[in-house]
Amino acid sequence: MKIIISNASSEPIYQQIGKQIKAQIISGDLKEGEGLPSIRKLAKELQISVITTKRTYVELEKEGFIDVVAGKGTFVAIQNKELLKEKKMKSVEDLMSDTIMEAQKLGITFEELQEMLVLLYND
Amino acid sequence: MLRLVIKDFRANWKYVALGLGVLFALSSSFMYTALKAPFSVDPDLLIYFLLVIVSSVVFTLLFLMIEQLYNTNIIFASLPISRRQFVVQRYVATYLQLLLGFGFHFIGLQIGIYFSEGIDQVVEDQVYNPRVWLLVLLFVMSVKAFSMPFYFKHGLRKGILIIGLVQCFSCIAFVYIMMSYTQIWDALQRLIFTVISFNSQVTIPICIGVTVLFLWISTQVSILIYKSKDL
Amino acid sequence: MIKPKIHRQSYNKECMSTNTLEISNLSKSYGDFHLDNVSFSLPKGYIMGLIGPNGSGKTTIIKIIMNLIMKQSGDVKVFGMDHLANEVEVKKRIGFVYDTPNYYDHLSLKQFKNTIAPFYDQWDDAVFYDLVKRFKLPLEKKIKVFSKGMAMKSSIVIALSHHADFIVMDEPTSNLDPVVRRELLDFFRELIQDENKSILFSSHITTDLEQIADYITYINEGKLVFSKTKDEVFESYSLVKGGNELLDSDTKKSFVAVKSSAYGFEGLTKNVEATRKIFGAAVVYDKASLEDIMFYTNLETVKTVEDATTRY
Repeated sequence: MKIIISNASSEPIYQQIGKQIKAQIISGDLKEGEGLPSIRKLAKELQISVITTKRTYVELEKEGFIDVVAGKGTFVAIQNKELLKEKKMKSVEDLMSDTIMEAQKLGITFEELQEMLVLLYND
Repeated sequence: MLRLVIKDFRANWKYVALGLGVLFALSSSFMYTALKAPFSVDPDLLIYFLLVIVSSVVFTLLFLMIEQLYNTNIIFASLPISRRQFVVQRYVATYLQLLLGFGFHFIGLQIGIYFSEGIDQVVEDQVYNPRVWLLVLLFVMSVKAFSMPFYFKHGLRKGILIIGLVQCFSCIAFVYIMMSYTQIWDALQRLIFTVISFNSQVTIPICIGVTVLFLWISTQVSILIYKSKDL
Repeated sequence: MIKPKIHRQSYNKECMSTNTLEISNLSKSYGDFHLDNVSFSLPKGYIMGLIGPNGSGKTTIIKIIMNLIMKQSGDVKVFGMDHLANEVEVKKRIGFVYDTPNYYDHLSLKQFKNTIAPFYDQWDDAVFYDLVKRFKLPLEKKIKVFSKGMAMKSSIVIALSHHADFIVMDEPTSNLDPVVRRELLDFFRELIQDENKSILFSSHITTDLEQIADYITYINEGKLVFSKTKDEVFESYSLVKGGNELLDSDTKKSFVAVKSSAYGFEGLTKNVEATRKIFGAAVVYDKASLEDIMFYTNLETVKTVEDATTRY
């Protein structure tokens, strides 16, 4: 599992971690049933607060990405094929939201955005 | 409790040894010079016992001084011991020191006498009289009992200041009164003599009882003081 | 337009099953100083940083917990027990570290250990020697020749050698160089892997706490400013920078304090959501460090402070 945190980013750390873990589960880098580090171990390795890692795991559990089994540990949840597709869609949706926000900030129009999407997708 | 008492002795045994050595030297050299010709005069026992009293009292301040220097009372107040236990152990350690001090004085005395040219009977009777030593010890213990609560309340420096002043004034007043009113001094000497030679089965337990009472009151007062003291 | 969702979650301390430390309505006055009605709790298994300017009351709070100073009113519970009624029992499980090691420094570390160890039922020599080796401390040299870093490490080793469940430290890193500090912080992080241990740690070196604390409690002039998770603090406080024309008596109210220079203002808000509603994208939002938070909170009233550089 690979996690890189940016302290300079405006995005809260627990979201950064969550995103990265989700991406790795969706892409299959993290396999179903694979064990994840405990919240304390993760906190220590990443040098962040245990509360942050706990929050990340709580969110991931809620969204069905991981299972926390009392006494045994935390594991990547068995992914329902449809749900998985939905999650993949959602993760791209999230990225698109970010892009749209940025575009709006910079005053780029919807048409310009569409053009860019077509160009880049065909690259 | 024992380990609390031992802690000071253990940590500061070098200072204790030094102190006891000083007391030993004081007694032996005093007796030796007092008895040895051409200085052999009747060693003034009042002066001798005054020496014993003062030096023993100062010796018992040793642990307090060390504690003041290093602020170790903060560490001990943070350990799992109650303030009450701390006060009691302080008393036990102090009185142990007193006993040790007296012991070393006595040994020093023997050595001084041994190496000098002998001692006359009157002096011998008094110097070797266990009742004399006991009464002096009880007196010092009572004086100590009076001063201990002041050290708990005000710490060492202020405590010494207060107690030192009080004891100084008392001494000066005592000497002044005795010198101006010699009849009182005579009466006092007779009283002391009577007490010393009286039926020891009665007076000694009374004296011990009174001293123990002072000690007990002093301890309770100190516990009350120390329990509510901010460190 | 798809709006990105912002996930909000607050970790309410009441959902924790046990608190290592519970302080309620604690007050103490002496001389000019007043500790006024301070309340906060530390759940088991976490690190709490106590911040505040010098003289704000951090050391007083710690001394009250250890019963070195008598509280005047309020309750202190450690491991769920009253800290006075069960003083000895509570202290058996507390390891304490003070900013100045008050030892007999004519003793060696080993001799000092032998003085202290008999008072703890759970003293563990194996742990002690292991830590001594790890921190490379000399056992036989007199403590008076130790450097500040070594003296502090000695205090920590002693505090950790009796299986204490609660470590209380008053400014443990203040006199240490950055390398030793980092070493110690890593060590505390490792300690907290055991979720039965909790650490309370006062410091004016806010960067240390930013790194390691789970909870931050901020005391200023004897009063509690806040006691929250570190995440909550950084999510609600923010530095806001913008042009001076944006400031007026109304907008200023949304800040804890503001300072202005010829080129613009910088302020601290403790509710960044509300401030976003007022200023939107017209200003820059920057992460506020604990030092920023302390600096602005300490400015007495909400006023603008002339930047000295504008005079030159």
